[in-house]
Amino acid sequence: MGGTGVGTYLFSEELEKAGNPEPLAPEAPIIFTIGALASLYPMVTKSVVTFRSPLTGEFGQSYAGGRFSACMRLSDLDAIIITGKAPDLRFLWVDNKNVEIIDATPLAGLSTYATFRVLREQFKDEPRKRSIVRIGVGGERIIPYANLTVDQFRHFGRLGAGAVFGSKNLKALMVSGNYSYPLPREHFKEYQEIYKEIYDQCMSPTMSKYHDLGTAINVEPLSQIGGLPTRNFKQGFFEGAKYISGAKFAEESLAYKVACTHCPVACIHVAHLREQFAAEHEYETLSVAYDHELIYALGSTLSLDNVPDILKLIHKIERYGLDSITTGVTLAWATDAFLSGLISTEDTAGLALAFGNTDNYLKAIDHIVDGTTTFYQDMQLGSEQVAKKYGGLDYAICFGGLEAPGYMTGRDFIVGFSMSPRNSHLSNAGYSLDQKALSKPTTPEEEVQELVAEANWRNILNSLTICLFARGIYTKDLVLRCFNAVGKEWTEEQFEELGKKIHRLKFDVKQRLGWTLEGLRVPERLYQVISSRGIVKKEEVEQMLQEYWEIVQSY
Amino acid sequence: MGKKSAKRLPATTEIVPKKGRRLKVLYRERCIGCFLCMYACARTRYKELSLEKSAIRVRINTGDEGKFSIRVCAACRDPPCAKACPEGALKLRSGGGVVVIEKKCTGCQICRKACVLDAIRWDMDKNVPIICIHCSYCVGYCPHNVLGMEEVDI
Repeated sequence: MGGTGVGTYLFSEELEKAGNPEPLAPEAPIIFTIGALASLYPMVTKSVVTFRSPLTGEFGQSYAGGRFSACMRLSDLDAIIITGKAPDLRFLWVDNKNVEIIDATPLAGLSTYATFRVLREQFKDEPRKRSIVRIGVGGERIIPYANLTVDQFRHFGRLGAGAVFGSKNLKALMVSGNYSYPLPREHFKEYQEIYKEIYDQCMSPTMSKYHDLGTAINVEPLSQIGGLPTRNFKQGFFEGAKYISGAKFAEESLAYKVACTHCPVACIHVAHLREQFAAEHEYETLSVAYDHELIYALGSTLSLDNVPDILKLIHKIERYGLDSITTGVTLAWATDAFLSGLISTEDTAGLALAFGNTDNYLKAIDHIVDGTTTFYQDMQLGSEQVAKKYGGLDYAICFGGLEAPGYMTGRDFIVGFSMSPRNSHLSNAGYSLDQKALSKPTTPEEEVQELVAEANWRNILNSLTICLFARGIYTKDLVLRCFNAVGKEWTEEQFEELGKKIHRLKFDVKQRLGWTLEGLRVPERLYQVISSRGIVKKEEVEQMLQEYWEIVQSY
Repeated sequence: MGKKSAKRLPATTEIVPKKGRRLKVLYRERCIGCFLCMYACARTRYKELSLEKSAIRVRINTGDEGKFSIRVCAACRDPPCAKACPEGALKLRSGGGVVVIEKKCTGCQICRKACVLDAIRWDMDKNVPIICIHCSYCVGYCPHNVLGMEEVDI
């Protein structure tokens, strides 16, 4: 089917061939895949990158929208595997399957924004649609949580794919093409009808939350139920939530919305940050995309309660090309560590890190990228590693070495992110099960069953690279009909089997890279604070992790 | 000139031709860059999954994030493309614009150069121009009402 399934499979093969190379070794593979239905229906817009994570040392997989999936289709490609290392900085251009490796040494030190502009203008006589994936200075310096920026506003954000590019001296990958594909004539009418049905659903009120305020709509309600991580997960209620809510962002700063190719929903909310940079009314205006995760990681968890400050932090991190969640959560850990005396101003180059101090956070990010002191060099390794050296591991909020997304809703959020093969969103639904359980109580056993079943189904959706915002639209029945209309037969049982198989394969790969159930660490703080569902009990979580693992092992 | 109408058209599964209308970019600034109009055009006229075989073209403005430029045929009353065609392969359409008579076309591309809007695209397989027929199908797949149909005198 493609996407996460094929990506994981190819990755497993490549790993075996190369003898499980270290994440930043030249022979380590980085693999881009799209799904079988990519470009055929609305909201089948995602692409997947699979690699060994330099942040966790383990299975790395990340998802992005933008134009990448469409351009892979236009160049008649389902997967790109990159291995090796260039002698110096290079740029890889794949056009209709022709591969060109171009000297990119003049691009050294350019921001993700500048790199994008330069590469687009470079080839402007080439009329084809194209997608540009690149790293900023963070990736060039091989910071383990550097990301890949895709087109204007999307990312392969998590787990450090940008560092893998950096380790290969690869500044950018451009994919372009102009292939056209005949649609199956015998099913054409059916195809048209299903297409229209999906389009109409995309435009229906069900999808309006993604279009209207975007995922930022979650910020305030999540705080109201005590599930919005605040000041490094000390509490789930943020007193400033109303100043950084989706509505507030929209009123104060929303400039426009844009969409990934082939998506009518347009969830990408772009703010304008207007700043005076000199006397005589000299202004600059920056375009900054925001969403729930960014408002959490650079807002509530750092105790920032105003829109422009969060936008400034996002913009700085975007320029360097770092993962915003990891950067924010690592800064939150550092603030706690500073306040409890584990680190001092000698470590921080004179900065007094304090919750709510935007200026110092902005400076700290520069220090991290520059590695100004030994401490900042250690900060480049992410919160788990830096806490192992300086202490404060109990409040380094990571799962499997990866900084947590923006929820503290209860036990399912902990079990979900612990057992998600990529320790993050998209492959599990724990954070949403917790919220459902608030109105309709369920047992831990039921929740584990539900977590695993949902993860299995998401393996199918993510193999097809359907945007998960459309998961309510793409039911099993609809996916079957989508396949039928392009002349492919699948059954629900096959989905079921394949979902399990992919789930198991991911854990096989993880085990090969050193994963064990016993090695899982749940940050102690999460047992000490009150989540949306109250205090989470350690024994309960451990039992659930065990049960989850037993189910996966039975596959 | 015609009347501006921003009335949303429903998405359809087939072309419903209607005389006396032309496709118009009503609100360029509201474009979200989803390219659904281009996919729609290629799907309905060529039964293809394609961004090449579309009479409408949306492009990204480099350096101006989130802004798009959209080219559609203006349905000229006295079309420069038809005047330039040495083979008489572009027949005048009632209400403006042209209809391509493919068997008369020799693929010289003079029509393309004659269009200052650059609104003529090219079918590389058949070596003939792709020109909008103002069928309104794409309008039904424009989620932000950027595209609309404008009434014109026949």
